[in-house]
Amino acid sequence: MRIGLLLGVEAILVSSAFAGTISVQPSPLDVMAGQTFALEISASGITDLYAFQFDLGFTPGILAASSVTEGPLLVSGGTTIFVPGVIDNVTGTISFTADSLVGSVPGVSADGVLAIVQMQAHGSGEGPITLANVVLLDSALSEIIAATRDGSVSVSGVPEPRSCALCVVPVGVLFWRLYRKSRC
Amino acid sequence: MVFCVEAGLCGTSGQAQVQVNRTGNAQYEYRVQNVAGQPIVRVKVGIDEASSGNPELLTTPLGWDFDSGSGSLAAPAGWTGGVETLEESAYFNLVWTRSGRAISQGETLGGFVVSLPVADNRYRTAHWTILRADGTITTGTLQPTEPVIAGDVNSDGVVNCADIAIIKAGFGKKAGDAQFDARADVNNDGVIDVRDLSFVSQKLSTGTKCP
Repeated sequence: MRIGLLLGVEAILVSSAFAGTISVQPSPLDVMAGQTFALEISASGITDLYAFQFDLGFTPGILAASSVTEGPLLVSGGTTIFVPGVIDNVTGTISFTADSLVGSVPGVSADGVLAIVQMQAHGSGEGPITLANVVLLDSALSEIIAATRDGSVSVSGVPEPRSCALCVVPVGVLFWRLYRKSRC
Repeated sequence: MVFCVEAGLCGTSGQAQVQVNRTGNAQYEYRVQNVAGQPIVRVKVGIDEASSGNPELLTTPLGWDFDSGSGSLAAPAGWTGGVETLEESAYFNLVWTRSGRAISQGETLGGFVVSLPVADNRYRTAHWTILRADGTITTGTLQPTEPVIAGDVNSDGVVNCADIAIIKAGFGKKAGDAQFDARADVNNDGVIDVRDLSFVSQKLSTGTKCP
């Protein structure tokens, strides 16, 4: 009973410590090798958002990023200055993506997409999409403490035609044997 | 005599003028002009470690490591330099002493260069003392020669997209990186990031669109 109460209090404290969440969406995501897809960096539960910044990490063996563009959330609050950041497909990082409103305006208080990352799946495998170096500022340029929720992408390989042809032979033999057995 | 016209800190007292200008990341150059009077044989410039005097200029610890001797002093030819005051004090003095050459009347001697061990974009020099050949000592304090405009990264007197361009060019760079432009590190935390970008962007007129 006491433990349950403590856990409840802890949960309240943890949830109240963050003023919202930054997350990678959609997640988990299943894609095929060779497929291009978009990841969204989204904000929810954050009020008075004036500026943001983040880094994104991914597994370079299976994914490559091609571009980062501004999402619709911050620009809904006025003119912005967007910095797409630096893509490094060797290390699997996108660093210092940032966006800021311009002028003495209130921040945005809504849920939505901060940035959109275009990616391509290279090889099969599974890997996390991690958020780091996240900075959120309100209109007083004070830091907003938010929780971050990483994502994950699973890339499945496309079966090669040649390997399928190899499967046909043993399956055919199996059917032929079953056919002969049934006649005997 | 026009001397104290550049953006920086400048002090005038007893027919002598001292000016300090930021010449690079964590690097300052001091210049001393002997407007009139006996040759100047000793120059002492005090740098505050802690906030005192002008809160706009003296807000954070200097970061000079006395024990390890980090940071460096470079004096012009004919002068020797050193650190005089102990760490326990709230400030220390950089002292240059003549060894064969003084600053004669009407002459300006520049090239006193101080390199601090940390990223630093605020002047912290607060006071100076000059000793002349006849033993006369004059002292003074250094004041900003131009009002500082918050967000005016390139010091052209206005906050506009040119300041944003400097920040974007160095975005993500850290102190010590080749492309780190200390002017863009507005909050002086050693990294050019969204904190610097938003500080300046908020100073722009609402609706301003920067390329």
